[in-house]
Amino acid sequence: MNNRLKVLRAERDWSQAHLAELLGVSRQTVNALETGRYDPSLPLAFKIARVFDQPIESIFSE
Amino acid sequence: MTVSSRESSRLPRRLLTAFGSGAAIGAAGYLFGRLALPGLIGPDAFDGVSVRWSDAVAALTGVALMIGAGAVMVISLDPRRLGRMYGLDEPASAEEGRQVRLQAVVMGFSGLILVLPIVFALAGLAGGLAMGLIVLLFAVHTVLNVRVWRGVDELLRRTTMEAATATFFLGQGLLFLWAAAERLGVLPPLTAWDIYAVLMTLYLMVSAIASARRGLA
Repeated sequence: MNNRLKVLRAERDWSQAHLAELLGVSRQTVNALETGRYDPSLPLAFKIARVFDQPIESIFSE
Repeated sequence: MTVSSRESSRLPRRLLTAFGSGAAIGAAGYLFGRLALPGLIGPDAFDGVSVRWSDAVAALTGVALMIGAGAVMVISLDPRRLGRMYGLDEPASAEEGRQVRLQAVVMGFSGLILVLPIVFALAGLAGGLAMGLIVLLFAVHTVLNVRVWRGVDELLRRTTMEAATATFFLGQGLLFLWAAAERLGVLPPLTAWDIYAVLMTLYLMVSAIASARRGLA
């Protein structure tokens, strides 16, 4: 699966720590998501979409 | 720009180097014990000492876990180094360091309780007392394990479940083949200790690979 998490975070000038806090996960998880080492659970994917105010399919793609 | 999970799931070189180094050190230790040690402490020093192949496997895995725990503990004391290890954009926080140290304690504890039955048996400690100590340490280990599980998020939980699943399928496959061979009289019977030593070694290897693939090692 592909994702645009790092770009979206950079556009908002957020640190990994800030995004991790908004999502309620660790910075390791944010890093693993951004580097494509981990695909999030459905609840976390929805949370990411809410935080960035974008539909899931614009953040994640096959 | 997008990032793909397929491209990033290869086994890191760092883990392969660690496995290679461990194998080289293990081979050197074996050769030392086999060839040089009898000359140093006397050729009869090990007479009467009953050590099974599974004791060697368990000892190797237990020591590897304790060394790994020590290394993680040292790294956790340096926030910058810990941050680099996890690929974070800033040094690790005090809370992240604390969480990693708790995980290191559990890892070291796993190694300790794997080695202790061998040590107690070789030291001739009374069975009841030795078993009581092991049960006590196992209870402490379980409490620590639960604390780690409750303190981590879905990344570490999923990594743990993946490692457990892979270990189950590999372990049951190996056990089935051995059990079939044993039933047919082709291979000798196994003890519970033999099975446990292999299972823990398998779990250590699988969880190291699963963690490395997620950027956790």
